[in-house]
Amino acid sequence: MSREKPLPHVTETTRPYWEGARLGKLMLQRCRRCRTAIHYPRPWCSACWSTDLDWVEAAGRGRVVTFTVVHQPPFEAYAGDVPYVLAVVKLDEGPQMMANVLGIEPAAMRVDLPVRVVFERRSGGFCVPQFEPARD
Amino acid sequence: MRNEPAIAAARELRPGRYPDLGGLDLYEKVLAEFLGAWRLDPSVVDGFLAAPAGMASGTGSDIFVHEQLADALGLHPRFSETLNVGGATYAVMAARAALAIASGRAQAVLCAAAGKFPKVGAGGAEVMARMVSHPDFEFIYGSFIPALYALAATRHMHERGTTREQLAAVAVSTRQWALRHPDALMRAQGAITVEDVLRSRPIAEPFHLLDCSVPSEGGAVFLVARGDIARAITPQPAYVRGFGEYHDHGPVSQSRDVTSMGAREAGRQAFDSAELRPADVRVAEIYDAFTINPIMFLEDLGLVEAGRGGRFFAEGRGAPEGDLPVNTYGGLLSFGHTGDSSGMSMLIEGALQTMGLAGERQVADAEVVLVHTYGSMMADHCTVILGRKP
Repeated sequence: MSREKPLPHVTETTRPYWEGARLGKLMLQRCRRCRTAIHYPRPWCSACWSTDLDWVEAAGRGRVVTFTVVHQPPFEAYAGDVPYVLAVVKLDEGPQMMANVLGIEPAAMRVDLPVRVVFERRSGGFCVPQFEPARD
Repeated sequence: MRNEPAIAAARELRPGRYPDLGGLDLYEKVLAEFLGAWRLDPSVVDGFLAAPAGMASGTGSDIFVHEQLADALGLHPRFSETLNVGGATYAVMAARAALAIASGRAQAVLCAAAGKFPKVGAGGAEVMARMVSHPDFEFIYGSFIPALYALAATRHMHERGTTREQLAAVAVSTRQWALRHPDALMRAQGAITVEDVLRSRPIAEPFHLLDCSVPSEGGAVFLVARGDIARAITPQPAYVRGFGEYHDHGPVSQSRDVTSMGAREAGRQAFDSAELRPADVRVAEIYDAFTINPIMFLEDLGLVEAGRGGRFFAEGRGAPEGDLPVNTYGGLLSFGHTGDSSGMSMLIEGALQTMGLAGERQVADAEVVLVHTYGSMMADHCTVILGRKP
């Protein structure tokens, strides 16, 4: 148990993602063979199994597929955060990802809300991609 | 199916807390209870399936469970393994056993489960949250089990018009059944109303406490045997008419359709292999970690029209006086969710209903009983259809 928010375990495969986040960029893999955009990072394309992948910066925009407002903190690190929004976001490039939606009253949350990426700083210099309502 | 595989014996431990028993100790207790309840000839049993003993507790150390228990039982099976498909493990066991029997690779397969459930207060919630989430791309956002299921509920409400009150109605209906089961954990709490559910503590919207299953520990054992062997054990075995399985996403965030996670395909295979239709089903036993699940899966399995699952429960159609009884043992919501072995409970009840051994809660015409289970965060799906005729 820890009071600190969890941090990712960085591997060779995921390092470009987390280094991008540190620079304020949401990075996706793109298959050089079939052009599929991929999240979460992995050593192959999940559509065609090519291992020839590139890293590209995502536009950082998407829509909320679904969400929940959490009232019961799952563990100590979240005790001061409730109520918080946990959501699945579909990026404009196609992949889906989990994130918190920040900067919104939980009661105002809705499915299909347009969102844009922001970065939350955590311990150890980690920056974690998050989302907030897109204002344009 | 060829060789008429059937569940010939079934027994579940009373759910509760067994703090002094580790995973393998609990297995011993479950097996002793099963053997005490059914007089079986060990020489007919040539298959043995078990699940890892420390799955939900996060210890995971007991991975050779089948070896240890088969040895203790004096068995030398020709079909045996420790297998894990989460909550779908036991329906998958029934399916694997039926296939082995149909192909002549086994004649009687014992399938066993014992489940621990970590106390959520003692760091258990964090361990489980990490286990059910992608550790690097979901867990870091404060994901945990009720919240991950709430994601499915929110989208279902948005797309199909399911309401908060309809979710609560699932808990109300299921509690009514628990009042008829002597071992149900929530039997002593009595009946509940929609208002009780809505007034209980909010956990992760739309779920409140009474939308969530009750953590406990327990286990169960069943025997799948060739038809002639089954009939020598019990006059009315529960024949495995058909089954299907489908493995959808891994982490919930990667689900392509969070309102429908793979039950549709598992159900289609099950009905096709059984040569039955949804209209033939008299009783449905559906894995219900949260109130949204029976609504989602009744719709996906074709037992209720899409978008009508919530109304089905609000109208009392799954309750004791309803036209399609659902979760007749009280469900994980009110019978108890026995950790690793929770996927056994609906299968045992499905078998008992088909065998006519469900006591006070027996449904009169349980000719065809559908059991639907899933593993992990609604990722692995297995549907089994049981019947009174081979």
